[in-house]
Amino acid sequence: MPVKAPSYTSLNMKHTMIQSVKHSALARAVACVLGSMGLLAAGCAPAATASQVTLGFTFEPTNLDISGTAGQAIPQVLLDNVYEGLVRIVDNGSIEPALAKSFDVSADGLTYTFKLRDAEFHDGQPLTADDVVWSLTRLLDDKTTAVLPVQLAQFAKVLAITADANVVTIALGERDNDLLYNLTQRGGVIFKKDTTDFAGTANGTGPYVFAKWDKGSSITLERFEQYWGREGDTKTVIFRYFADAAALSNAMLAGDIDVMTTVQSPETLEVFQSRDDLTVLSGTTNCEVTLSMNNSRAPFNDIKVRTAVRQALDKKALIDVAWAGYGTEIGGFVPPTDPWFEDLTDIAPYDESAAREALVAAGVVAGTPITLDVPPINYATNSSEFIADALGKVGFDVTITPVTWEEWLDRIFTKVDYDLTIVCHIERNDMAIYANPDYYFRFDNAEYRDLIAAAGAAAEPQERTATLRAAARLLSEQSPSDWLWLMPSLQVTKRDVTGLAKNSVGDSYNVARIERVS
Amino acid sequence: MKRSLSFATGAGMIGSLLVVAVGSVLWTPFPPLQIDTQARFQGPSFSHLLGTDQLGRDVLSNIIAGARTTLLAAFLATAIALVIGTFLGITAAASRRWLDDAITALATVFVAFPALLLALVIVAARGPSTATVVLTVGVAAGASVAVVTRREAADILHSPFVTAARYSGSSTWAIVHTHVLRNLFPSLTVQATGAASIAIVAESTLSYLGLGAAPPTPSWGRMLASTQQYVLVHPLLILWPALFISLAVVGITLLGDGVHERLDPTLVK
Amino acid sequence: MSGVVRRISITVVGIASSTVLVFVLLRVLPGDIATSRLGVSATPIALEQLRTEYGFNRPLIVQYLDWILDALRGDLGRSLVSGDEVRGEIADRLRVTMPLVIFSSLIAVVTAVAIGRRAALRRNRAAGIVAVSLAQIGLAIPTFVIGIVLIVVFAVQLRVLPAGGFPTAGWGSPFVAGRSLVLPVVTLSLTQTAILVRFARSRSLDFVASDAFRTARAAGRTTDAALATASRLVLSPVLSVTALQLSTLLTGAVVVESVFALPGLGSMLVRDIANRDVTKVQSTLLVLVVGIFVIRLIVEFINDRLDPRRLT
Repeated sequence: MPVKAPSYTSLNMKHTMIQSVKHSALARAVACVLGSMGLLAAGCAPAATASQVTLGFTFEPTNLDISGTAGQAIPQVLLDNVYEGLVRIVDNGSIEPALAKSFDVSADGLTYTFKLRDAEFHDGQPLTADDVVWSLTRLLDDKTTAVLPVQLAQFAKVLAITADANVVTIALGERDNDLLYNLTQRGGVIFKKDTTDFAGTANGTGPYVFAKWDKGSSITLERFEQYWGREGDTKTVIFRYFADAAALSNAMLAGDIDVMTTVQSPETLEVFQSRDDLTVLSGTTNCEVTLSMNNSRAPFNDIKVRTAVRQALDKKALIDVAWAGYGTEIGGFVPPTDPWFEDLTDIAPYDESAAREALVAAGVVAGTPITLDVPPINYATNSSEFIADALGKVGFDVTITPVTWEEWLDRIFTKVDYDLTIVCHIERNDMAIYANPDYYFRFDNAEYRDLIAAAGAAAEPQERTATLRAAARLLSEQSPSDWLWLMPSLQVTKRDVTGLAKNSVGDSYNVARIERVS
Repeated sequence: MKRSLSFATGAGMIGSLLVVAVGSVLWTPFPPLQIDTQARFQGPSFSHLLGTDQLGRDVLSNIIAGARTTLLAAFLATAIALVIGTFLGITAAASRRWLDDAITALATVFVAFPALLLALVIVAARGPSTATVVLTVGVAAGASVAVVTRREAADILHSPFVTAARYSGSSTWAIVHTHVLRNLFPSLTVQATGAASIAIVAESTLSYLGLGAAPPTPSWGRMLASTQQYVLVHPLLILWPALFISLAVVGITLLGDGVHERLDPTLVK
Repeated sequence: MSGVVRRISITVVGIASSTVLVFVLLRVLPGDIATSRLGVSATPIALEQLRTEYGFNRPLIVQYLDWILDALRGDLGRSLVSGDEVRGEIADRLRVTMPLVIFSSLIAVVTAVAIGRRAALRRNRAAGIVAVSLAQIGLAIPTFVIGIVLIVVFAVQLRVLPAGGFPTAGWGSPFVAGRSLVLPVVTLSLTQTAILVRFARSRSLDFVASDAFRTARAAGRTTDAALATASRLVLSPVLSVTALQLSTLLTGAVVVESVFALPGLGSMLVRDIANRDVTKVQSTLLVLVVGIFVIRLIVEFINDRLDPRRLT
């Protein structure tokens, strides 16, 4: 019988033991029987399945160093497909065992034990507990330049990683409710011990082998035949990269690719929807399109001014203009898929005259010059002129400055030399960035910091949820930024393609279940 | 003589565009930046002759206001190119060998160096702006003007009438003024119109690569670049600016041809 | 011959000054490979550490000489981002860019000489005007718009050609590779043709007005035959212009490669500049500039043979 993969969320982590079942040939055979009974449309292995699927993306990796190079492009292709961690996150947001056969969290939340399964690296070597210890210990050396600083920070509460036979233990100095999630992401990836070349090769344990990279064009993954679990459904999966969103759309319409993994100009969706041979898939993401304000700089160091900025913007009209109406208004920094979400859109609702009066009251002279720095990405460029116009109506004189991502990282993010900017904060559970007073928002609020710390240390999931909900409300009331909309995950596929993850819940783009029945 | 059909047509086209560009300071059908989110992507109608764009702005008003940015950029780039080019070209032609060689080498570097890559680097350093476009195109075109000018100026300086003038005691400056510049004029016109059309097209290309005018400044190039994502759904939005860019370039080229035909003695016979 | 020595020395000086220009320009960029690699997780300490590892804390003159001396030995260095040999990556990308540029130029030269000759003969006739105007379109419409229109028509509507991209097998599957270059080559050659037509036409006009032409006609030759004898003289300036236009052609290639998502040298450069991969950018530009200078030198020598009058 097909067994539903057991799920495990980081929220109800108690004293639990989880077993996962290896299902491959059996599951397929069952699916096939069900299929012939008319219960399942697809999944019957003997049916003609295309041996190759081509997926279109917009950002190509610059190298393969998943732990040392920032950006979404590398984990998108490598995480869960080529590399695996002890645990992984699935489409509904729950966490399940991966290289760990099972795992166990102590009652005080300070000890995690993982029982490893028999797995093999793509170069034929077996997975050992030493590999796991070696890989995760890399994250404990806070002097290293081989690992991104953000990951070092994520694992800062880990004291030691030890192994005994095939059991790996992670010991923490204090409770960390995000540890399991962090282990599903790039920081938790398991390498073969003593790997030195991270940038040029990728020797993982995942269902796909990194086969070929045509720089500037595509990456080819081939099914790993010795995979420990259910093998990939399609033999060859090609990630094709397009520098330009329009080029990606055209390739989809011309039939050059099977899946368009992101829609960067939703206005064109009607063209895809009008085609019988294509399907539009929509889901959720963790990407909050944020209008960041520099809280350390006048006039945005005044909460009244920040609130006025939020009130000046008609989010509904903005979403129509910039994203063809496909975004969700959230009023805060929490996506509706998180348990601690609540609708905060009434905290600073659209009210142009209230905004104008508030600015006058705050001493902002009409025509005060401010700059809006806009990075080169459609959600930002499409909304910039609307925002400049709306803020112009309440008393600002907005100059739009297009910036490259390099300049954005350098001047805005690192040197914090900006007034306003637009960027999508894509990380999951990222409320903590507002608790860091050095982060480029320069939002410094002790009460909020305490709430985030309390949530991180909460022993009970209900307590954590309640604390985070309170933090989210406080954050929205303080208006350190405005949150314009929650980005939808929009994909277009050929009709006969199945097995795509609808939602974008982590950094990976899992291809194992994708197939094309022709 | 019926000769200059091209001159008349070109002058007419450019003249009307200039009138529109200058007039846009005083009047456009709608304020070009007026956003109306209720009226997005409208087709041509009596109130909006060319329709509205993704923000509900009147396209015709933006074309009119954009003429100003685009034509001014083209004019300034051309001016820079001519000043740099003539100065360096004549100096090289009139100088001793080593200075001549140095200038030639310098000009060759800028001619050889792909201008767009120069622009990419400058923009990465200074941020996108119309000034970057003007400067890059001006310098790049200036280099090729210099190369051509040097060759022609050298021919003129070695011609019998200049030798005669020199023997009759004219100063170098007087020679340059009366003979060289005057005789360079036809060639410079062609160079100038070439530079101007390159500047207009370059403005849109750089905008396409995200290196052009900063929003919301209306410019033809930026209109093209910002509406190309809608080409499948609203193709008219990309058609209008493309049409006006073509009109301007064709107009300028015809004008250049016309001036050339009028001034070049070998063609007038 | 002193002319030869002079030309070669100008070329060398030109290349040398280009390297300085490239090096300095890349050093004034905001942000560097360290900010680019660390992204939003950058901390000042981590940034400083990485910079030291890459050797960016050494004096500029040392960095420059290091680069040049290595390049003279044929070592273009390694990409800061991928760690791969720059030489290999350039060779890879040239497999797309070379055919793109060569085919476009060939088509442009042949079409331009043909149109230019006809246009010159029928200067005041409708056919001539139409021919020149058609060529003019290539100059008047930005390359990327031509590309987008061709994609919409041939790939999206008619679905007869791919919208872009290059097969993963490369020239291993020549048919697919050739097909994917059709639209890019057409797009790029339109602009080139337009530029060349103007020159070809004016040279043909000069020739038609010349004594040689009249003599040939008087000797009983047909116009076409007379013009054919002039091909050599017309070809020479067209070649010069083609050489002069090399950088424009590369600029066009950058745009075309990004419109058609082709893995060529141009799209690689744009991306490397964005990634602040300075070693790779400066070495790629060096190769391009040397290539451009050398080709121009060769064209000049060829032209001396085609048209000996130039030597005086």
